[in-house]
Amino acid sequence: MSTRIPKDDFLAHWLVGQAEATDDQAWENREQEDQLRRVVEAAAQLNVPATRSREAAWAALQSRIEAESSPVPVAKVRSFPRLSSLMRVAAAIALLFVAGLLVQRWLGDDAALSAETISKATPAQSSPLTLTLPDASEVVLNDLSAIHYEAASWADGHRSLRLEGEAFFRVKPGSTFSVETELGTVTVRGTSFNVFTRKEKMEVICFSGEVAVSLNGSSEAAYVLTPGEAVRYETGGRPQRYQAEVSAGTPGWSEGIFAFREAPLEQVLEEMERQYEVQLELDPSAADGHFTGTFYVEDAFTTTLANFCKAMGLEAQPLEAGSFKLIPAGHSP
Amino acid sequence: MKPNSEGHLSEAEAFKALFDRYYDSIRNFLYYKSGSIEQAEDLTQEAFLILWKKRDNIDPQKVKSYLYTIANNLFLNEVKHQKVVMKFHQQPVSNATVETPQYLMEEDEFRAKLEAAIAALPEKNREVFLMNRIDKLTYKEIADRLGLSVKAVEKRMHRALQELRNISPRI
Repeated sequence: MSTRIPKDDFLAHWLVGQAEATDDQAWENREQEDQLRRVVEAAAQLNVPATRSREAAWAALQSRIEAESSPVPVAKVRSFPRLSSLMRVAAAIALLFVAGLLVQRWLGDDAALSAETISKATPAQSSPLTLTLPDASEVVLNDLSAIHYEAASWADGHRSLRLEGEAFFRVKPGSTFSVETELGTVTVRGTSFNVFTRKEKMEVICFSGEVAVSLNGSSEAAYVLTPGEAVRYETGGRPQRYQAEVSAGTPGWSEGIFAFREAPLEQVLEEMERQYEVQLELDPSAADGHFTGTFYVEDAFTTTLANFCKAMGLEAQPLEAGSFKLIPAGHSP
Repeated sequence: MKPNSEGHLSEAEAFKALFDRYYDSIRNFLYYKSGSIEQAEDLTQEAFLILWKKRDNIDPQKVKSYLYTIANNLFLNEVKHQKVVMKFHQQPVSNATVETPQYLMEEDEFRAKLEAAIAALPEKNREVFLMNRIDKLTYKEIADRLGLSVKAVEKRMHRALQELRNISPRI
């Protein structure tokens, strides 16, 4: 038995390194302190399990908000109970857009837009932006990507939008939903799929349902994709079908995970440039390599760059702020 | 250009930002209380739904503690409170050394003991302890979120640690 009664918050102070020296007597012996140290360190390594991602929880919450904000249909009244809330969403988006348009006018950059077009874009180095379309379908936009659509035609049930960059779609069942890109059009009814379209490349991965892809440069009929199937296409090349990993239900990038398999280095560097807002230049002598690996946006850029360089036997030379040249390791002047 | 650089965040966008910021900690908080991840996730959704419905009547300064209050009330309203069993995921160990089977077995047993001891803590002490250890919140932050004094948080922490120092490291 200890004769001295420890203060009733002694251990709380001990943990943050603020216990006073005389409080040593709170310990029965030395070992006891080491033991508790181990316990608190082990507890700090614990992770709470999860049955679904935050992204998925958000999607579920959104549909509940949508459902609860609609008036409950009364049996006798034959009307469209959902229309009012739908119109509200459309109106809100339209208002937002008008505000955006005004700013664009002031900036003198209104050439490409007509008054009915709704545009949403993401900057580099942002977290994926989730948007709800007027039909309650969902779009997750990757960095430096944009969608444009006509609000009026959506209200008429014509679901079509234009995409630049990369986005993941969860489409509400209903009439045909199409995504137009520079290189081709993706058409579905109710499904989830990822579209990547940058520079001269386009890539579509089907996560659920069924997706039809028709390519502008290709004489072939539409490519029909079922879950796990994907097609990629480069201007001038041949469309290529392949199997994609879709078991997670959403593309890795929407969770900040960028996984590559045998990817050309240029493609990996371009993704890093978008995610970290940096400039990366690859020495021509290293341009032929392929990268298999993963980077996580939550890691610092220096960590990601160091890992990448190590894996590829490269060395990063800082050129100016936020700009690097990658050369083969051991060749620095 | 940022998508929202034209002015204030819309109500929906502000709500999304709030959700992203507090979803994990509210879900964890409810897990510490209930020991059931399904229940924690369901109640977290309820809590945000209530927050959305009451959004016009909430002082923006108090949203954080209000969320915890809602979560706590939801938990108290659940009729059935089962005996709490805690099961955590282990973070991947970063050091690349190969551990002996003997060491791994000891680690497993220690972990099981730790989880059992945490589950056996009184709820109020357990949530404070885990908010500090897992969510890495300071006593002050915990006090703010739970609407308690720092002193009260320290007392709960002390009591949790007092219990936990009786875990024996060996079999």
